[in-house]
Amino acid sequence: MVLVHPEKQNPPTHILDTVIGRIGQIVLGKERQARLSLACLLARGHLLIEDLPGVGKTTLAHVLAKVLGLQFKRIQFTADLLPADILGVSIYQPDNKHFVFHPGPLFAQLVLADEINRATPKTQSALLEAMEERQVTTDGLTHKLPEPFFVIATQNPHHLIGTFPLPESQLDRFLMRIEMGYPDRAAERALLKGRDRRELVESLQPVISADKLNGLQQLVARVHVAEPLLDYVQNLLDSTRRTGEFAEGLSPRAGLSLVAAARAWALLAGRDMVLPEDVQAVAPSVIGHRLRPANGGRTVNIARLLESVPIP
Amino acid sequence: MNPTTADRRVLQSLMAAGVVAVAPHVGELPFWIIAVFALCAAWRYGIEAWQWYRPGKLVRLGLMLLLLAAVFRQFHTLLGRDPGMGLLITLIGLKFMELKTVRDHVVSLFVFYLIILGSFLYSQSLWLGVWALLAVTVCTTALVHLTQPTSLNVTQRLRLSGVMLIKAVPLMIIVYLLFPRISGTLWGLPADAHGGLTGMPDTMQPGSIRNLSESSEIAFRVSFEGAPPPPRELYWRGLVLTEFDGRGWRRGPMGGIQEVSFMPLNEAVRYHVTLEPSNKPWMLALDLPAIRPKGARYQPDFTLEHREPIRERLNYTLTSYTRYNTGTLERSERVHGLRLPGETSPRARALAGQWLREHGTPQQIAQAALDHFRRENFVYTLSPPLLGDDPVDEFLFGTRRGFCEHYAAAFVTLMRAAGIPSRVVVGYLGGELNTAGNYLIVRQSDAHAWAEIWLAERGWVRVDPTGAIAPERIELGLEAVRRLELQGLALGNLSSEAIRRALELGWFEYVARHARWYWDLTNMTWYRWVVDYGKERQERFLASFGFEHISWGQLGGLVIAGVLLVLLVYALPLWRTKKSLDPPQAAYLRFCRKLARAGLARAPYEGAHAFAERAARKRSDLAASISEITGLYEDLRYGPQGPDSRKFTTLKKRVSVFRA
Repeated sequence: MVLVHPEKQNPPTHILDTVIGRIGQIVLGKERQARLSLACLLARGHLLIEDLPGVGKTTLAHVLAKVLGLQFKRIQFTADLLPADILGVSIYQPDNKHFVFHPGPLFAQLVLADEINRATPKTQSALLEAMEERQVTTDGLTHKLPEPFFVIATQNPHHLIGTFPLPESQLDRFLMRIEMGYPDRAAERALLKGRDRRELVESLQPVISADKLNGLQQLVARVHVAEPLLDYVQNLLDSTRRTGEFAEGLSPRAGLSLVAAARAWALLAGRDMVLPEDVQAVAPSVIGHRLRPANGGRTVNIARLLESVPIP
Repeated sequence: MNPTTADRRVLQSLMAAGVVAVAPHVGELPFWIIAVFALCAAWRYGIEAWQWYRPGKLVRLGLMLLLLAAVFRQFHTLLGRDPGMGLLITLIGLKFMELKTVRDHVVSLFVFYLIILGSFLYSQSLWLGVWALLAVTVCTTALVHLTQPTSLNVTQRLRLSGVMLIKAVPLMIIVYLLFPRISGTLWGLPADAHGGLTGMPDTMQPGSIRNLSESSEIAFRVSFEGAPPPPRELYWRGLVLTEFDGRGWRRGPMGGIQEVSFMPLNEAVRYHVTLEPSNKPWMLALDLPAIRPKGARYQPDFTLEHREPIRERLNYTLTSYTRYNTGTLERSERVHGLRLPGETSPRARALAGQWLREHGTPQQIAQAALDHFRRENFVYTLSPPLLGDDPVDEFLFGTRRGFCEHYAAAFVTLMRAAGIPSRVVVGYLGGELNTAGNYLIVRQSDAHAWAEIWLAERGWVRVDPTGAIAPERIELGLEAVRRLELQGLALGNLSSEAIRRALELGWFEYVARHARWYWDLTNMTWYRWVVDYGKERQERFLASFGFEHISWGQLGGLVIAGVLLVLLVYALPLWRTKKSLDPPQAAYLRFCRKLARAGLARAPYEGAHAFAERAARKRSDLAASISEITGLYEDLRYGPQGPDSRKFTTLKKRVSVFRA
């Protein structure tokens, strides 16, 4: 990094660089994905990973939990999974004649919701509602989810048989959607030569604690966003609403997400202010799943959108 | 897409533009010229869509020579309006064959604009104006398509070209109002543009006015200041025919008389005439005009003659008196007013001789002639039988069926035979009052001929023998006569009740007539304010702003000043955004310009940080200063500290010493 001045190098960034480095030791050749998912977490957002099975989605989630010292639970979504299976149930205790709530697997700091689109809409909704509210309500009682609370959901885009694709309104609950992609040749070679990933994950030591993470999240909220940058974000939002290239323009919530993610990205780069480049770096992951092309196609070209909006 | 080629959809836009541009010329140019254009367009489309044969250079050259020869064969010249447009349209068709680069397309589109302009050499009607507007929009849309082939859809292209054209409107108005004009109307037409104009002939043969009565074309429009005179006084004087050769009537020699004057006997009527071009010099005026408009000669027979044939719409204001005494008669006038050719019309001469013996005064003789028409079963008809070598006798004693010209000719012959100076006057009678715009429309079908006899104490007196046969023609106009005749009613002594019933309009006719009137009003307004805006009107317009006697140079200066003013107004928003530039941003942009000159241009969407990394990779010698300037700029623009004058001064200093 040629351009970062020594006085801007804030101490937390050292830790974050260490975190990225640790993840990189296990998830090979995926530094960008690692950074994005870390930024997502720092911005208190949930992450959706969409890709083929076996490209390291689960490993990434697991490594993140380990490195950040988070309590980790994995829920494999299936068509017969019921809301109670993830939220928990109240069971009658004959001893003291009371119902006692038994928390489900959702009560963890980092939850991996694997193959979320295999579950029925009902179960999906229960998860997404909990993600939004950060609490679970059953039998009139509200149970707070742990803090921090972070969901990484995965889905297999091509595996359409027996799936229930997430509707747009629910996709919106995820701050980012990223794709893993195949590893490059060198990374794959290292992977093939190396030890079993699961063993490696188990042997990982946490770099920071949950408290420390909370402090970092508060730092993110304090990263400065200047007026010209907000101009830029608004121009971007405007452009999606006017070009006619998209079925519908971005919502104000999408704008908020974009700014939050850009803040986290700036902090990861060790800066106390957001630059347009930060917005550009997170934009494909933040707005990609919130836009649909107007002509009924499947993919939107975020790079072209970014190139069409000058930086004010 | 390769930027030098254009795809099929661009070709479609181009062809749509070609079709709308050429459409107004259908009917004006020989059919084969339009057909050549259409065939070429179809051929070109076939090449694009179905890989038809694409002609090579030699074939195209041969076709071009062939077309040149064909145009020459058609018009016997390559100069002038029709050959020029013919060449333009056929050769642009041929140009389709070699459409390849964007430049080819742009050239074709510019020629389309020229073709649209060319259609105004044929007509300047409101319809054409509307069509031209549409055609220009389509051409501009095609131009937009050409320059932005993929990024916009049809609606967006249309909107963009519409916005551009709307923005051009103020410029158009300025150039229209201020561009130096030559005398005449909006368009100085080439000389071959005046074929097929209808107007009064300068001689009168039996049937020559009847031919005009078939045409519903407008001869002129009149708006009166104050109430218009009653219909029976609406005699529009065109020209006076004194010379009779036994069959036809011609004008007599002019000149000899210097002073032309008459004594008015009633109130003056002031009115404004808009005369359609007739390719004849006659300026129609209400009997008798008292003033000479600019550019006209006042003839001794009280007609107004324009200096040259009227080939463009002419506006003039006149004062007339409908009752008058022209006083004494010059000797030469008397001679011409009594002259009859040698051996013609013996029976008419005999009849006149008989009246001369029976009656004492010229008035009584004239009355006897009118009574004769009334008594002897003469019929006024729009379809009179053909007459032979001695039309007056044949009409008076044979057919007895005639049109106004037959009656006027026969009456004057009889008067001359009886020794009363007399002559034929040709002009128009009446007109249709357009209540929508409160002006009179006089059509070619209102053409009329009447007689004048000279009486010692009253001077020249108008006598209309048609009025003795068919007073309806005088009171109600030719249109009414035609309707009455269609219903098989005999003219002459119809009761007013019968006429009213016969002329009652159905609701459809009523609506149609009013629609026609409003349409005519719209057209007249268009002509007055757009087409006829010539030198005089421009001078008056400028005088109202205090610019009198302005030279071409000054006008040119005004045009430039006006155009600059409009451009300034358009540029103002841009200038203001520039002014609102953040000072650090201005300094940074200066730095970017310096790098751009060294071949390192920042894309508009490229952030400063990303650009600095790219630039530093390319020019590692400058990496340190690029990094410093970028860092300062980012701190000032995006940083949490806000304005920092020390940092800003450093930034400015670093940028000004920066050399790429």
